[in-house]
Order: sequence, then structure tokens, then C-alpha cells
Amino acid sequence: MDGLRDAFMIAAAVLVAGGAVAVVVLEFGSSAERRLGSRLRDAVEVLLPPLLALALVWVVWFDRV
Amino acid sequence: MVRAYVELTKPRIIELLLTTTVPAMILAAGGWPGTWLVTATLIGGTLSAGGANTINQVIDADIDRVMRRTRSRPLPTDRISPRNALLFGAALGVAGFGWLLVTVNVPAAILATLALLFYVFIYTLLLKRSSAQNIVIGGAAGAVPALVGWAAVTEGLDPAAWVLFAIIFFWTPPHFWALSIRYRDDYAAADVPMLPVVVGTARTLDHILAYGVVLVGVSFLLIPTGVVGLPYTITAAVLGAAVIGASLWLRSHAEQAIRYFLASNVYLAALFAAMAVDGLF
Repeated sequence: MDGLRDAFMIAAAVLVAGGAVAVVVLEFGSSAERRLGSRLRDAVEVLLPPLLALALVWVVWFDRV
Repeated sequence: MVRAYVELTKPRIIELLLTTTVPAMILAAGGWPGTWLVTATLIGGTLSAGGANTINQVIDADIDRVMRRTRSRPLPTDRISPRNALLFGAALGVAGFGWLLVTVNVPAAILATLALLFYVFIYTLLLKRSSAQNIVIGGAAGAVPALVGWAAVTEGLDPAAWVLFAIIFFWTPPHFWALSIRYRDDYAAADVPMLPVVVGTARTLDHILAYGVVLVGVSFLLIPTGVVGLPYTITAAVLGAAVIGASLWLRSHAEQAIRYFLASNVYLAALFAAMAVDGLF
């Protein structure tokens, strides 16, 4: 089970990182017309979830059994 | 009349919220946490969530009146006055806090109430009508019941509890965006900037896939925390493949987005059921 846990830890990190990059590229690649709020607010709203996901990967990495 | 008040609480959403609470409690306890604790937590969670949903309907009554999906709700049909609905919602919220405080513990009571306040003030009042990211950020409220369940058992929040939170958090956008694709015209008519209205269906499908990938990754994160074993591991792997597959399938079947929406409910229920089974046996 230990080997399996390590494998899923790595898979999780790769998927979260890959998905997070995709989310950011999708959002900031959109045209300016779709921006409803200020650039700062847009940036915070877009970046916060991927960053939190990456932070969670970081926490679990160091807390894993 | 009673039925109308029950409708205000959005019982189906409460059901979904509670399906995440019990498995969280089981994992936190490393087994069955006790029938009274589970019952008390579910009652408190129901009161708090019901209050949040009711107040949301009061604030969104004008939108609900315009949309096909929601125009038969109690407020658009004038079955209940806004004043009475607001009082009812507030009473539920206060009751939820008080119930959890007395029968469970302080952290659970605070978390449940914070979720209510977040859902009302951050999602409903601040984000829903002004941000295409409304359901991404606002979805945090729906992820809190897992934290409530965990805190009810341990009075704290381990990294595993935050993984449960994150699973629901990253499940919510693709789940809700699929629904929004189906009702895109309604949201546009109501001037609600759901993602399909703002960026179009094709771009929304890209977002659904991207968030689906993050969701699968986050679901895998529970495994190295050590709170789950082989049953959950296998389930998460199989369901994860299904999420990616469904998100890719949806790209050429957008007209069937409602099927994706319904399947996403099954995904979440099955994933958390696997946690419960893993924790109990």
C-alpha cells in the first residue's frame, strides 16, 4: 500500500499542477471583453483556487504517511 | 404552506450536503463516530444549510422569477412573502448555530455559520451577479459541511479534512457549469454572468475539463494522507477516469450537458460512499 500511496501522491501532484496551469491559461487567455470586474479582482478570483489546490498538494506532501 | 417553507430550504441540495458530512465524520473517527453525534450534526447541518438556501432565495427572487428552472419557487409564485421567508431563513441559521453549539461543539457551530454567511454575503450578494467566477469561489460554502463533520468529531481540521473540502470545491464548478450550459438562455435573460453566458459553451467545456483534471488530482490526494485504503483508492481511480472521459465526451455532446450534471451527482455520492465504506470496514 505504501508504494501505491506514493504513486497516487505523484499522480495527484501532476494532475493538480496540470489542471491548475490549464485553468490559469484559459482564464487569462480570454479576451478583455469578458472581464466583468477590475483586473485585480479577476486575477484574484482566477488564481485563488489553483493556488489553494497547489498549496494543499504541498501540505499533503509533507504530511503524508 | 408547510411544503412551501420546506421548498425554500432546497431539500435536494441539503441531501447532497449531508452525503458529504457523514463520510467525513467516519474518516475523522476512524470508524462509526456514534449515532447521536451523527444525528446531532446532521440536524445542525440541515438547519444551517436550510437557512442559507432560504435567504439565498429571498435575495434572488427577482432572478428566480425570470428563469424557467426556478420560476415556480415559493417567492416568485407569491406563496410566501419575502419578509416571512427572510425571518424563516434567519431563524434556521440561528437555530443551526445554537443546536450545533449545544449538542456538538464550538468549531462545528462556527464553521456551519461561516458557511451560511459566506453563501449569503460572498456568493449571493457579492459574486453571483458580478463575476463569471461566481460558482468557483461561491462553491466553497457547499464544501464546508465536510469540515463541519470532521470538526464535529475531532474539534479540529486535519489536512485530510481540507482534502475533502477541496474535492467538493473543485467538483462544484464543472457540476454547475454543465447545468448552466443547459439553462444558458435563462441565465442570460436574468443577466446572471454564469460562465457559458460570458465566454460561450465551447470555452466553458474547456473549463469543465480543466477543473475535472484538478478534481481528479485532489481526489487522489486523500490516499497519501493515510485515512483511506484500497477500496477508496480503486474507486477514486475508476471514478477519476470516468470524470476525465465524461469531460472529453461532453466536448462533442454539449446538448446533453444535463446528463453530465446528473452524472456528477453520482460521482460525488459514490466517491464519498467509498470513503465511508473504507472508514467503516
